[in-house]
Amino acid sequence: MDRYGYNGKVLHVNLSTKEFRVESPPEIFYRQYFGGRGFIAYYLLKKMTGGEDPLGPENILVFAVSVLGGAPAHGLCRFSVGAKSPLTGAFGESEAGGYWGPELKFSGFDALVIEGKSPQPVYLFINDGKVAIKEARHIWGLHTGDAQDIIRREIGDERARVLLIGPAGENQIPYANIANELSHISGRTGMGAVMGAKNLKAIACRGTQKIRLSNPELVAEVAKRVARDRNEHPLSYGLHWIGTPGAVLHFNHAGTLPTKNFREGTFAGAEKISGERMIETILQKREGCYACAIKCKRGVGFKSDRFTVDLRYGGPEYEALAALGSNCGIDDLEAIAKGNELCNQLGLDVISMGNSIAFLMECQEKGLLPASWREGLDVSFGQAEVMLKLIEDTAFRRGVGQHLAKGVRGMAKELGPEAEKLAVHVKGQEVPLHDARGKAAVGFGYAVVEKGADHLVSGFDILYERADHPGFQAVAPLGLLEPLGVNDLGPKKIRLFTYMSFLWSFYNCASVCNFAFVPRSITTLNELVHLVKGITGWETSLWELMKVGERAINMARAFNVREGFSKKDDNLPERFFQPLEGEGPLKGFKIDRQVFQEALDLYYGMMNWDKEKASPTRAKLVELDIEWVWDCLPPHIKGGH
Amino acid sequence: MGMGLPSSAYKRWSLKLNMISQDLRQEVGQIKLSLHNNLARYAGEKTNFFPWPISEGETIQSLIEKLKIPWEEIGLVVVNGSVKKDPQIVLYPGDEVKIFGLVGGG
Repeated sequence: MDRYGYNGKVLHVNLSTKEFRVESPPEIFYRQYFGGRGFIAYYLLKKMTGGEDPLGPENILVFAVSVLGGAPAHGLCRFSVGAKSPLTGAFGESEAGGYWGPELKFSGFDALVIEGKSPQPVYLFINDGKVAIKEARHIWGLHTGDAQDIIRREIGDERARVLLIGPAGENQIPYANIANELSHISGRTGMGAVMGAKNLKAIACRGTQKIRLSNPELVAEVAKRVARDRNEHPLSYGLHWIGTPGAVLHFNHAGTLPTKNFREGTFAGAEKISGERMIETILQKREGCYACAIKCKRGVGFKSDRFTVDLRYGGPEYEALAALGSNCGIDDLEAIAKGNELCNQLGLDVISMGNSIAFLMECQEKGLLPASWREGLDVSFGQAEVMLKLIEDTAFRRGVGQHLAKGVRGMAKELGPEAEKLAVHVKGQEVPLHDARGKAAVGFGYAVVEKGADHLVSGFDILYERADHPGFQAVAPLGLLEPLGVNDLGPKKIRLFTYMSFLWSFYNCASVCNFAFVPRSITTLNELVHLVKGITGWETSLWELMKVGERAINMARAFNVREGFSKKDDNLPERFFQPLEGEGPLKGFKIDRQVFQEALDLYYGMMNWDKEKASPTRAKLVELDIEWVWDCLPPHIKGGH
Repeated sequence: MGMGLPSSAYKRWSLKLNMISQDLRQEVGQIKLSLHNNLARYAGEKTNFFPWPISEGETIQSLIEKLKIPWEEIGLVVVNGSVKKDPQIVLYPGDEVKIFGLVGGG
């Protein structure tokens, strides 16, 4: 049978035994799970049994592209990495764009499943279907950039795409990230620490195999339409012109720019750290990912009296500007750019890093920080030089960095109940830079999403607020026909959230970039279906794709249930139930606990999950054609059905 | 068909000239204007305030119409530092007006 889009090959590597195996899954596997999150959840459920140490050799690390990944159209460049998370103990997963995912496809594989632990540091080189495990002792300890240079030199191919960890991953900091091409970052849930624990420094890929398309004309038609209209569509044009940093000033005026550990929603220094100032001062170029015409990434490089920042580490996105900036009370754009570069060199997630520092700053201000933790350092809000020092110290667990390396939850537990009230995390993952007070569905997503607080779950409330918004109009094919206010957490918002979370989950299964597709960007849902048809030749529909997304959510949920997660873990940090401080337009606003609880019960109902156990019912799993997942659940969950 | 402008086009053209001259007559001063995110393209991709003439009784709505920005592209209007939701608010010379487009964050 003809196979289009995917290679039909999954590479299994055991680092303990240095054995390889190539699996050839059937078509139905690709059609039901698609790639990304779907593949990760499949292998984590099948190859683990629950209770494993995330940093032990028994954790399974999966890199998955997808059926669509690497096809010659914009926004199909992404891949997912997943494992049990050392940060949360839950389903761990992170997505990134760039070039590595497509290159893995060109080298002959759709996904990579890594088991065991190498006795000494190694890296993998995957070259057109061939695999080699290479010695990495000489690059262990190096910054990502230096290590990448040496790897490319050694394998003799400057065009090899390299994914790697920095010293933070080697040192198993629970929020260590993974970089590809130095500036495309799989930031969340500490996947870099899992690589480090396996003594795996890097994975280099090189491939020349083209992706076969069932209907190249159909794919080209969509790609051409988007390339033609990208500067006409307000959302894709805005992403190119100013990118995510454009949100700083907008959010500041709306009162939703997290400031001083999410205590306030407006920041006096917002202008100084805005996307507009970045364009005027340190922005050197706008960059993109594989085959993308939108180019939303920032290239920042400069040499000033104080800092040198290297262009090849990319530039701060909105999340970095707010995490290292407003949330730490810092209004110094050059220092934030330096901090972003340090995080990418050392291999630290900028969201978790920034928020851990902000938490420490507020603890000092409130007198909750013992002198022994500070080691003579003044960790108060607004200290840019201190912020930079703390990033470096965290990667090496030095000084105050020993404490920061525990993350917000770990530090708060040691500092006591007063500090726990200031700890802004869900399931142990630090919250992205969006205040749940002002973005109801984003906040709800923080609470329920299996990977711990994440903002890329269902889209932003602001997209669905007005009938004339291009984002809202674009989701009409899902039956979402009524605009809803940003702070609405009523039944209709939960319906919207649920549908949109299926779509977003499909994006995470299918290598699809939400900055290229609706509702955040230009490519429509019907064009998405055309792309899937054109790439695979499958007679498909939006219905089938949404079910792929829903299936993957249920599998990730089952993984968490097996690990002992329950309803109490689907919660929000105390801070969001307290009034927003400061002088912004949302001053005094808080999330109502009862409204939140009602929303949670309604969500479980819509998902057809058991309301007490927060777990999929057997009927739901059968409906999604994954009855085998039922057998992965512990007996006390299955009982009573 | 003659060689000159069709009469309807001529009418539109003269009407436009008339509007411009009326604007000039009634111009009362300048505001400081900035257009953000996707709106930058309506003002030559500037990142900061630039002077912009206003007429007597200029409102947020009439300003946006003169700038020829489609309503669906507008996210937030900020006058002298505070968000304004009513498009009929009158602008005065010296006002600082920031108009934001659509953002999603991330």
